[in-house]
Amino acid sequence: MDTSKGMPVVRCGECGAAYIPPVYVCRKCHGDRMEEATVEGRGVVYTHTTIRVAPEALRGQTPYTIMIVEISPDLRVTGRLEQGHDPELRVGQAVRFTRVDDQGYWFDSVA
Amino acid sequence: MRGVSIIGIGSTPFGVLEGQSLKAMAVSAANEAIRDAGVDRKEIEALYVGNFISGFLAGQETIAPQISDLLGLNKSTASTTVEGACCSGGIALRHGFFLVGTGLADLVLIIGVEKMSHASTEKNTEGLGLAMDHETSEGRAGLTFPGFFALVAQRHMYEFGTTPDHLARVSFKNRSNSLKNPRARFRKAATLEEISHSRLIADPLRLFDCCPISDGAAALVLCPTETARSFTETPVEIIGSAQTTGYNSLYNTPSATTLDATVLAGKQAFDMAGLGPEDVDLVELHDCFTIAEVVDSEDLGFFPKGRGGFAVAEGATLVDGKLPINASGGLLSKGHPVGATGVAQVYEVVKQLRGVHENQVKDAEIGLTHNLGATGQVCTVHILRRG
Repeated sequence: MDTSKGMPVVRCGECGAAYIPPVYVCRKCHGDRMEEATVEGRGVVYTHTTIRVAPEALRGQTPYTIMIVEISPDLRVTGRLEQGHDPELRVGQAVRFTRVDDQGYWFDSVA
Repeated sequence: MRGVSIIGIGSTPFGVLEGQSLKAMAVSAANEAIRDAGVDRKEIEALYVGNFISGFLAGQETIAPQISDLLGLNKSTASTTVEGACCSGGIALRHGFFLVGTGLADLVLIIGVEKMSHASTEKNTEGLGLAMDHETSEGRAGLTFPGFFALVAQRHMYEFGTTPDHLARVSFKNRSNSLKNPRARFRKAATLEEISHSRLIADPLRLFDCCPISDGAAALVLCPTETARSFTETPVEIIGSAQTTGYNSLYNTPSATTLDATVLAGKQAFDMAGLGPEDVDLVELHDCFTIAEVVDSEDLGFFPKGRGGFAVAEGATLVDGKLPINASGGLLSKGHPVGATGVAQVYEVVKQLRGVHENQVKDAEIGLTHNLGATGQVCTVHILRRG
């Protein structure tokens, strides 16, 4: 996925509402023509946790932070923190999208 | 719809039931319920079994007909397994409620069962994790169930001032309750100090904020209310039953501090019963994590949003409090054999309404059970009345 243009989303071909994929039917207008798009990917931490007991496959990565980032009032996404675990992370802190891989969306905290 | 009543209950203890297979536990609980009801098992017309992960953990599917055969039920009996993650038991009960309520059957057996303790923690974590939507960024990011409820907790603390001490007090209360329950997994006291300093699992949740992996089964016999008194002097009527659907991920949930499926199921069940939260004498709700008990108690309308933790700290949810919650010890201390829980909650409430519970709530007439599946994706609420 090309992330150089921003954070990947899907956009409803009917009403333009943006979503984190996968979304097959627009939650607002029920249109089913979803198109790939990007948004800027700047947001704030809505909530967060540090995973200390992980699924088997991610055991070597603990402790790691998972957070929900609010990009806009209508768009939130669950993602990982590039720094791994940051004890100073707070709700409301500014973060910036960095990349997507098989572990989903990644964010950097912004000073 | 005609009235539906519970005339028989049975349960295994919850915990590590070494050497007992999934089907042995199911049969044991069902035998107890059938004898308690005083019915002829050959007259049972349908069996619903609530189970979540027997295929993955026990290598066994199609368990309802197999349990039916082992119980010696009639071959004309319809035997069906239902799955809705940790809500499987509640859904099984609701299907029995439909069948008796619509007049299609007069005698229905409900079983909830799960076998977990033989499998490793990793295998259980993986199995339970199958309920997450793995296509979403949440599943891929490595979010666990404790992690999911930790995200809820962190936001709840931020918005409403809920504290780690509030959560520790939920754990302490439920542990104190389970000391009196012979079916509970945890029969040893724990101090607030021990609870508050247990190791972190997913910040801010600690070990004592999480329910334990357990084995167990529970069973109920249902019949029409109009004939219930011919079987027992202490029938319990199901006066409200609701099942709803939530979201596949927390990022799509409008507010991380409210599980909409619970709000809707509570409203529907209260509407059906013609009652409100103020009419309820005791509650068994889905405290898979301490924060879940706080959020559920708010979402069901017992406390204003944000006040659930404070209510616990004030003692409102103790057995002798204004609204006793999880007098059984709850999932946190009685244990959570996932597919069994929804049925077992009803078992505990029926015992309370019969006035014979080991941790009896005084003068209990109306009880409510709340059973939640996965990340709040599925929810059932049942309201029960003595008589």
